[in-house]
Amino acid sequence: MNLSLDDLFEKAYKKRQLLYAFLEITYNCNFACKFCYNPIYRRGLERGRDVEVKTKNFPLTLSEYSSLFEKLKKGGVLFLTLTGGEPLMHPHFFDILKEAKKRAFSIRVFTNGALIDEDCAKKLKENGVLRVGITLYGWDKQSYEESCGRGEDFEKVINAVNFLKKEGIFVYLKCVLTKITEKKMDEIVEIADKLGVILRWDPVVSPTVEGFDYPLKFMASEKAFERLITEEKFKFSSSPFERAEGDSICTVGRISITIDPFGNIKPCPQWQEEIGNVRENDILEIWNNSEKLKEIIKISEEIPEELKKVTKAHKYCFHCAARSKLLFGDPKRPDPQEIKIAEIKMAFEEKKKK
Amino acid sequence: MSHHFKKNPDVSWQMVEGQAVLIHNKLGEIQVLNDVGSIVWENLEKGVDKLVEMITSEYDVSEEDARKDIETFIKELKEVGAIFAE
Repeated sequence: MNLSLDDLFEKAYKKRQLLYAFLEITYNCNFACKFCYNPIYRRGLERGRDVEVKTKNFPLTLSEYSSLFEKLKKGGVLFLTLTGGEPLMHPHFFDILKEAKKRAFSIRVFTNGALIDEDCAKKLKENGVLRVGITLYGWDKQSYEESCGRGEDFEKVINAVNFLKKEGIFVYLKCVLTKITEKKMDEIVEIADKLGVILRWDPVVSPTVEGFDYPLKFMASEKAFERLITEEKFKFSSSPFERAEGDSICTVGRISITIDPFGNIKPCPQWQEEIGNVRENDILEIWNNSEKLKEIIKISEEIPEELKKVTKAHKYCFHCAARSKLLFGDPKRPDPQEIKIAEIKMAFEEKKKK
Repeated sequence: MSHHFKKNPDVSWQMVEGQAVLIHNKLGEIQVLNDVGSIVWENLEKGVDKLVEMITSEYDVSEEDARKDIETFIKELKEVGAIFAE
């Protein structure tokens, strides 16, 4: 029997099966994006938060990854995402990948693409990578320089897409809608079309994981949001507008978990609350019994009601609880920016009906 | 027919609600096996004899029929490249 990814997702969601694991294997990065939500090493600094236990300061070793993968396999994980930072900056990236492949995960890598040459693409294929998501930061050398200080890497990123395609790896592009990328939205879509790959837009810029809101200065204009929502050629990174009445606002705590480079377990990449550490806790025990995780699921269930109180466009609102927690210290507080996008969408849908 | 097999490392898989979900990385298709198929997949490396024993203890089926069904299913898995004979 063939099954769609949506069906599988729904099955896991209803049963609360840990189907996805996001592994932030390093916070190191070769880019310096001005609006990065996770700019740990940009200033040459480590994470600003206090690290209570000294051992947590050391990145997970290969044997610790091996044990973790064993647990995740046992716990039901099928989809494993290696992300960062820039995951390819990890000195033992391919060793980690080999360990993951042994457990037959469906492996995806989130990358900026600049380090993927022909040889690297081959190695990704050989080591079982099924999908690669590359973030596109502009449409040419100059815009790359403006977005992430790496103008010279624009061409490498474009080449990376071709190398991956040649190896038969499913590659897709992601683009954050910012003050920079909004200048040439059509050109960015054309780049993806020419490369023959899917491009998904992410409409919202997030504060940093440490709670600094300077990335929000790069938020796109209302006009750009309007284009994104009303013009058929622009696609979203997920389907925020397809939430049915009564559905929870996101999947946090229901099908996925995140592990940072030091083994800390987090509800999602943006939710900066450690609910355990794989060196000290059984991750499956945390998944099944963490009171904190239960509390977070409850919060996500309550959000639709909170949205109803503030906007008629509530069912179009893709509220990110982790983002609100960072911005306002309250995961349930509706974000005016997200509401604005929802209202544009509602107006568009109503106009279409007429 | 060989009695020992191994899974193709290009197939990602996991048990979801007791059923084996397979993703053939080359084809990108998601397949769900039925209950018996899932037992066979999960325990493939134990060999056909053990699989027959597992199926007959779980379901009301003769050893002969179970063996026949398992071998047919294994043949199908081989044909689609999901497993190899050892």
